[in-house]
Amino acid sequence: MPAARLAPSRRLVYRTRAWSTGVELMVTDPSCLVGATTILHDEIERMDLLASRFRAHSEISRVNRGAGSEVRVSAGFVELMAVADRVARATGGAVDPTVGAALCRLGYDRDFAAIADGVVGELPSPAPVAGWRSVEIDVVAGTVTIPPGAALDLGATAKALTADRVADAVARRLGCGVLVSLGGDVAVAGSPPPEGFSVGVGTHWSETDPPVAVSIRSGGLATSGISARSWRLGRSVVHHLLDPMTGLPVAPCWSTVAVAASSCVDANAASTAAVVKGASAVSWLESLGLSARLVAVDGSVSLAAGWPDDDAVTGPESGASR
Amino acid sequence: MAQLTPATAASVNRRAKARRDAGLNRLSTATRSVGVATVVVAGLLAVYLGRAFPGHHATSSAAAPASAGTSVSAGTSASSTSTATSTGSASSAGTTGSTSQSITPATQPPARATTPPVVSSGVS
Repeated sequence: MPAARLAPSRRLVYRTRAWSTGVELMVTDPSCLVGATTILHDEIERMDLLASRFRAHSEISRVNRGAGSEVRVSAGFVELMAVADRVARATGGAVDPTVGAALCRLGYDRDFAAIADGVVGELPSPAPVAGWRSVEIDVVAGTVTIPPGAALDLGATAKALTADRVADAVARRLGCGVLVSLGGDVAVAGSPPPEGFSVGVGTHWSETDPPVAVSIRSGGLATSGISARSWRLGRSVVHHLLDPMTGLPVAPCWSTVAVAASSCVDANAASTAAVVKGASAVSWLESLGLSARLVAVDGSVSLAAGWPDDDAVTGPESGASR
Repeated sequence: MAQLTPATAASVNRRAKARRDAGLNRLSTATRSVGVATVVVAGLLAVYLGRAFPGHHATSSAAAPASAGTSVSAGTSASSTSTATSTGSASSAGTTGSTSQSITPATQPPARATTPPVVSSGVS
């Protein structure tokens, strides 16, 4: 892991990198920072051993290699699968853990840094993924079975769950307010600063001057979109958010969708599902009471369920937008 | 005043035997009732827990993909009972994600920030 550095400011933000993206940790009490970074790195390593498709000996790799047969897994992996199952169920299958094989067909079968410059190949024909309901989890025996030819990808859930766990553990064990951001998937816990945790919302997680900033006091905030983690596949440009019905990148509708929810897992599930759902996303988010900011591919902005107005709002859509 | 006839040893034994038999009968009835009640309560508790933690419903590998939009019934199979155990242990292990089956909003919606952002949320 690259060397980490402390930001030279009184905000006490610890920054490092993992999973081809940036990791940021902020605590409200300076004396908690060292302990918090230890918790952060332990949890990232733990999750990596469970859910990295690119580590040969991770549990997800063993399950994918054993597709078609029962694979014994740890309690931690069963728990992760239970979260992925809940997310799939709650999003009506829009966020599906069985998109792994489809991502591999698009060339995303190794760390993203290795494919960022493009891969050789052609866009495959549409084919639905195996589907989350085809995954069998035997909690008592501690086994997971996926259909032959299927592969899991838990990227959508694992990163957000890690942020939630780190924030929860830091607040509980060290007793301070904390913000954790894993590539823009943000979780907060403990007592927030009086003004709340200020989070910029932009196109890319590393933006230094995001167009919007909101204050959150609990739960999580996540942004999904098609404007990053895209690569060239032969003559096509593809990205990592797939439609489970086709196994191909979702049709462009929203460039980015930011959602605040009761946890980072829920925020990430909702923001990812919104990108997949396309035009129906605003009404879906409204029906769940989830505050969200959606930026269409033409740059227009829609807001849902009480997301605060901002100067950049120009929007096209229904009553929820402006 | 009428004179009381002293009970013979035989009649005393008969009465004692009758009382013992009646007591044993009551005890037997009580034991059967407790047994039946235990089975009924255990059954009701199993049904309640099955519904409280619907969990994952195992299906065959030939099942339709989720995106096809078919629904999954919660709860009566052995696998769903198993997953109830998982859900419970996941919570006790400190999972901070919502244990609700749906996605839930934050306690407080985001507000316009009054200070510069500490971090940015964006696509990664």
